[in-house]
Amino acid sequence: MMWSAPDDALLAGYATGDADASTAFIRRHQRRVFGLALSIVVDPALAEDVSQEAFARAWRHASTFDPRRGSVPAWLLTITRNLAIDALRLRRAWPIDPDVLAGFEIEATGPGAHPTASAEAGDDRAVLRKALAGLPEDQRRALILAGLCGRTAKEVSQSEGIPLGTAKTRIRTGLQKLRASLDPGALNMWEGGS
Amino acid sequence: MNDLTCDEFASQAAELALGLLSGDERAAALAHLAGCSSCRVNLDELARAADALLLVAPRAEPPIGFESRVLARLAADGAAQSARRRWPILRGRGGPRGLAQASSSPQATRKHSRPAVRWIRPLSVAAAVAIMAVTVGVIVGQHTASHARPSAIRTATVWADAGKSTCQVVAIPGQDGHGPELLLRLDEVAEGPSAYPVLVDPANGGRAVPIGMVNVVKGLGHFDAVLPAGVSKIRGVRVLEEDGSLRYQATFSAI
Repeated sequence: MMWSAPDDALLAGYATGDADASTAFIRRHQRRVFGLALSIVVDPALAEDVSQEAFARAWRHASTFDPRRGSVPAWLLTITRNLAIDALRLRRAWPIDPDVLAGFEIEATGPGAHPTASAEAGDDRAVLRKALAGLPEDQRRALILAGLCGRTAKEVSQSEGIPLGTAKTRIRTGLQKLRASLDPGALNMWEGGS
Repeated sequence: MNDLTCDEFASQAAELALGLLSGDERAAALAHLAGCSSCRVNLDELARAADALLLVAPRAEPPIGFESRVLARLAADGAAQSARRRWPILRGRGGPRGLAQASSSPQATRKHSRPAVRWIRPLSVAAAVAIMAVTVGVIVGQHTASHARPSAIRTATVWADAGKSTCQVVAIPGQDGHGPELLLRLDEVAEGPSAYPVLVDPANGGRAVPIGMVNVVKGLGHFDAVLPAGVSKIRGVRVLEEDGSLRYQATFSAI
């Protein structure tokens, strides 16, 4: 059935313009697309504009999606994040950090603290939430600002009031730990290479 | 430009994976990547972690009517796109995947093997008429029927699953600067989802040429592609099972 079709198949149907597939694709992903857009731009009207454009881009560029490189949700959210950042830069609007971070509800991601965490036990999202919750707060903030809000290391250093080198270190260490949580042992391999 | 060492690259890899580097920094990092496979592997892993980070973003219910507005916008975009070009050719670089599209790593230069698929909007009147003609036409034999038209649009339809599944193909000559194209529609008794390889048989008896995959969702599959040769050079079309065995073989009648 359409509603239980794998993400890849649904994206293929969406690309053809099939009405059922398009409806199913949008319904499956609209909450996460709008949620990410809203978290970044804060303004609901702008978030809807961004979300609409994200779905339009996904439709136009569906042929460039490569399942070997990642999942459909990650691909779609990358489009959304980039559009949201572009929209903010265009408007020269840059929400203050507490608002942005509150939007991501990272404080609620501690082990067992998030109501959906246990329900999602075993899936990637639960693993990621747990991994993020396990990061020191300064690294978590830097990683969210950089990875989800698209701020450069320089912008993170300014907003956090820390030296540029410290901002870079926090971003790098945070992402490496997140990567290690997805693939145990990878962190050691990375740090040992040259 | 001085090439970075692996240590220098490693210090910037996270920012590259997150798409945060400036133009110069990015160029230097990519130059290093071009000659360092181990750093490419590590960057790919960091890029996956960066992608995964997006999945933890909170979800929120969009405003009422959002779905309808998106669908309306797609319809409008589709109409405009159709007016410019009936079918977009498979795009390569330049898509929305920021890091991956810009990276010079082999991983980033891979293209999705599935051709761009548009069926409903770009279906020309001639092709639609041809399909209707085939659909209501006389069935010649149990398994294969072919139908040649003076306009050089060539059609064929074949059946499987004891006549419960149908494959209709239409080959359209090139025109207005566009190459010859193939439209294919599957009406399957099984809802799927399934994906079948599509190949064309050259008229000279040469080896069949793969041209893409047709995805079947909810029993319906649509596919279109630019043909590798003119319509008169094509003998027919094959659709294979996922295990490579033959599912449909549609043969155009001689012109």
